[in-house]
Amino acid sequence: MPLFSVSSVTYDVPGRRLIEGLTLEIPQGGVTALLGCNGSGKSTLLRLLAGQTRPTAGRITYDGRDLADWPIRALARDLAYLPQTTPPAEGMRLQELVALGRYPWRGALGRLRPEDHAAVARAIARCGLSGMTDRLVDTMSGGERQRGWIAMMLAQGARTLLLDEPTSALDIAHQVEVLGLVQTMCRAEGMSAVVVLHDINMAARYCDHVVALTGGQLLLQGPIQTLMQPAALSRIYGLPMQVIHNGGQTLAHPC
Amino acid sequence: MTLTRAILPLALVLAMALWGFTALRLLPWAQWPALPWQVDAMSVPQILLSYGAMPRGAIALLAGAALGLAGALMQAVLRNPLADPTTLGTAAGAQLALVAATIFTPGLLVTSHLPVAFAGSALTTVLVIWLGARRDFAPVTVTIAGLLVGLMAAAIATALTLSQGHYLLSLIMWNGGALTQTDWRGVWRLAACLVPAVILAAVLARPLMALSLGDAQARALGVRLAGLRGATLVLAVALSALVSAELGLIGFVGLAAPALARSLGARSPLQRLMLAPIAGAVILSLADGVLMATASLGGPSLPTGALTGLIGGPLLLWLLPRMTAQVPGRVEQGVQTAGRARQPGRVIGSLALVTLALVLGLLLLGRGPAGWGLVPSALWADFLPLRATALLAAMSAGALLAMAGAVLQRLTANPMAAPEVLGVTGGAALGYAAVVFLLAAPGIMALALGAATGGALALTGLAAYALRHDMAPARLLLAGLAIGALASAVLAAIMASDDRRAWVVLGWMSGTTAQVTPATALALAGLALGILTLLLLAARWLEIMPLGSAVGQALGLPLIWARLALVLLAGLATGAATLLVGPVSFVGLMAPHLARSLGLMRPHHALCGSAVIGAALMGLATFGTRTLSYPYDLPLGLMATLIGAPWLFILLLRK
Amino acid sequence: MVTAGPQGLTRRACLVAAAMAVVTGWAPRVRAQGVAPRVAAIDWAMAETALALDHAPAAIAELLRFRPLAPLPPAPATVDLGLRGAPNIEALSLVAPDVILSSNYYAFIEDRLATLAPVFSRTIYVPREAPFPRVMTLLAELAEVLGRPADGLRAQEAAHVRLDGLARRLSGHADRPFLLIEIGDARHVRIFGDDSLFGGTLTAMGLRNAWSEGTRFAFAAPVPLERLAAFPDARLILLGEVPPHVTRALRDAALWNALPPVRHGRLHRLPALNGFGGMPTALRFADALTGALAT
Repeated sequence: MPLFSVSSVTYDVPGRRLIEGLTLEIPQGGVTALLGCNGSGKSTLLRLLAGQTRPTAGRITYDGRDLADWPIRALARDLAYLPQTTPPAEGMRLQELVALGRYPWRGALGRLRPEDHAAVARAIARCGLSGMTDRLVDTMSGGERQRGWIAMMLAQGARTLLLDEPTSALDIAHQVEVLGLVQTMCRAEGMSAVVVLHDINMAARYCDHVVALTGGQLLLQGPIQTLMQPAALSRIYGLPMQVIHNGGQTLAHPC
Repeated sequence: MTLTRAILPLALVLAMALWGFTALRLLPWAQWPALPWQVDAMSVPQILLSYGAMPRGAIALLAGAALGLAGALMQAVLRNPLADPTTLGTAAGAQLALVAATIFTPGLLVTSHLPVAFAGSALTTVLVIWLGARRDFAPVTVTIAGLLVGLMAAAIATALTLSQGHYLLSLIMWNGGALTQTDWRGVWRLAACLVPAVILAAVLARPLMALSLGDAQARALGVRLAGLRGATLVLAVALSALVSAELGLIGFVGLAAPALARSLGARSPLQRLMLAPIAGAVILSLADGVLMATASLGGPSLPTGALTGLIGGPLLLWLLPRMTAQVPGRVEQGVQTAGRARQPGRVIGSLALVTLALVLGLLLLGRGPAGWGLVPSALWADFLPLRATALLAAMSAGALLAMAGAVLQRLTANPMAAPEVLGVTGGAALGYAAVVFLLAAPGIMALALGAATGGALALTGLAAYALRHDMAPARLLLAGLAIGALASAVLAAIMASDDRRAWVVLGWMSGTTAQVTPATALALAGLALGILTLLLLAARWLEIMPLGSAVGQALGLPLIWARLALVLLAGLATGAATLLVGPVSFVGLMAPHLARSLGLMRPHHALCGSAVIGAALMGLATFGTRTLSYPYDLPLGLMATLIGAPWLFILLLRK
Repeated sequence: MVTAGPQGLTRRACLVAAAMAVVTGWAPRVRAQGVAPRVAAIDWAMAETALALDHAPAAIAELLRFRPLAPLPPAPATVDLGLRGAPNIEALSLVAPDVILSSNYYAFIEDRLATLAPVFSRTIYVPREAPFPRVMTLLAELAEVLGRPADGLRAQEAAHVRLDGLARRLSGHADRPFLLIEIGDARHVRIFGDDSLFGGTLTAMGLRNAWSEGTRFAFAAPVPLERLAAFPDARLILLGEVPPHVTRALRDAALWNALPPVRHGRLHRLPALNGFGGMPTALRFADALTGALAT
């Protein structure tokens, strides 16, 4: 059974159609890259997959069940979403931010139990932030803050992570750090991730599957190898691209 | 499209037809005086026409044009489609300055009202712009800052008016914004200023176009930002002050005219600056034409400003959904604070201790016929229950407002959110006024019920409106603002009727603890504790909400219902406190900020801290009202405003 | 700000308090026995009526503004009670009145006042009802409350005599109706109707009020100046002071100068009077009117 199954989905905002008649499947396990040039509808698709908005027409199933039928907290226990720009977490400590990830389990009133605290500590440790639990999120570096938010998603206990351009504000070292973390988690623990990315080479290095959109319609889906072909890349970005193989690495750049 | 283009000419024709109808009812065409007019030889109806109806028609066009231009200039320079002399507090500044001058230095007004009006307008506008500059001129924040400064100015003006009893008839008419004329001098004065202003605006249009790309871009294109901003704002404030000085408070024409110009397809700043005055002239003429025609048919003669204000509220609501392109949806950043307290529990504990000590001091200390002193023990039995009742009621109200403010600021992630902005207080004021006018001799319970019903209705309307837009916080604030504008317009019309009962409403609006019974005080205290408990239970919601709706939804928060519940709680708290304090006090804005500056960050700490600080502030305020001008009780809301407003400005200005 | 700590309620503190009480002049209340009742007046018409009965109230609300308007001077030692709508309860309880005088305006605080002393309240000003007979009756009713019914009847008699005398002097002016106005700004006026004290007094003197339209409590809402043009025959009586900038604006206003009463010198000015007063103000108005018309 596929992780997500999108069938004939259309999404309109007043005066504009962002996604048109989209049908695709995203497999269980591994990292799926969501690619496309600006305005291709990739962030919108991610928001639809996260259940943040409902499609105007068509339907999306997650784990075989219509997204609209998932109770909101049950969904949050299974599926975590990180928006493109993380909001300022004013005056909040890392520990407190990550603990918010337990909300889907305990709701507004339930006390946090030992297993919740353990989940929070484990999430922080997995993101390599163990020494910083008392730091204010505001004062952390960009990469640390991004990992902090990912730790919150892990504390949710979700099997699936949806990340919207998690690396756009980071330097190359931090990009590697964050994407490496996502890849490791998917490989080691059988989780799935859908990541919106701009950098094709990062996608090629860290992702297993690819979905590419243009103008709100599907351009390409399949294993990551299908992406790294000059013809496919030219169709995505609308300009001639070439692919270089260099000691097991595949790199793409414009001609 | 052709229909929209025809709107302006059609409206102008209609306005002129209404004017002509009134004029011809006054005097048949055959008897209209020939030019040049000889006043001594004219009959009274002829004078009424040529020195009354004619200049009135002309001044409606001119004042509308001036306000339309002022609004267009403000909107261009602030890149904010919600800016106008009403929402930036410009008009309220003129009001306060004129009221103060009428009372303290009437000599200043003998030659002209303009310098005084301009000084007041400039003062409040500079204050609002200064606050806005600290927040990158984010439209919603600037609008709220303007509204709050305006409310503060109006509260002080109300208190001053009240202190003069019945004798400031001129102020009441001025508040209503009446266009009645008895000669042509006002018309000439307005025209003499408007013509150069339009030329100057045309000159400013191109640099303003560059500014519409943003500060950095404009600077890169060689625009001198400070000079441009200064010149544009001075021009806009001068135009608004001119109308204020000649005619009084005429709200929302400056907001409506540029909006109409935009919907007619004026895209560039030059087009808007030229079309907005025309639209403003037509809007005001039409409104005044309707009023003149109804008065001529024997209907009531309402001041025109009250009518434009009445249109303004719904207009704002209509404009909002159409403004998505212009109002940035980003979260407006919170105030940077002094840092987080290491032991928040201790901070709250010491706050509570200080407040307790304060309570004892305030109970015993006071002022008698011969001066300051402690109450002698022989009088304890008489005085302490009185003082304790007033203090308990005021402190509970303070805590309620503070909690409402803390919730709203977290809910909207906007540091300027306050209960005053929610429209609940405006609704409560309307409910109170309705009871005062409908019942012959209403008792306290009837009045309380009226205010509570009004507040609840406003809140329901607000929630219903905001629910349709997923309760988006910026919408919520602006819708509240619109309800507030509507309420103040109705109140201005009531005031302009100069009914004795209007003074009862005015008196209540500035707040008093004098009529509180022990039962009311205990009920308020119980409500404060109850709401605090409920909010503490919702602390986890309040922690997630400032992170935005995407995060909230991703974590499985029932966003709409959580927001609705919190808004209703905040509204209930505000409504209950308003009954005692009156519509404006700023405690709801100040207390959460003070709590933050003490480092109380997490929701439950911030709530408890805000509640204690709010209670203490309001306790101090009751003490001030009781003692400062003994035996005359000062308005409680005013006192709280005066205590807190300076603090607030300091906090907001600290980067 | 001086604050007392939790330990502030010690015996020593009480002694300090007692000492302070002496310094600041606060005295515990003492109720006088067997003498004339101490009266505290919240309503000004009541205060005036008490003064007319030669029974000076021990305390009057808003004394600061009452003094300059009062037709009869209040006693020098009168205590100020603060705002009429929100009298200072502490000050009132220090006065320890035997009776509190109030009116329908202050019905909403009557329960509160009644906890301190018996309240004597009467309805005086009501929309579209003439207050003059009520003000006259009040003389007798209040005298009864004060235990001096004979004085009330005497005061009523004196008022009748005085008013009749003034009316006879003005009988030559009954040919034209009167328009009683107060200037707001250069474009608006208030007009006093029959339900005002002044309109009522005018009628009682056998003169005619030109304004017969409805009013709300005593005077019509601010009406545009042009409405005065509907009364070309009237004598225009201007009550109260006119602010300087309004005087200047009126001097140049074409419409104002064209009004027949202004053009033909039928404009008379009276001083500011207490618009919600009792019989003394009515008599003072009649006096001032007679004086103004005689010159």
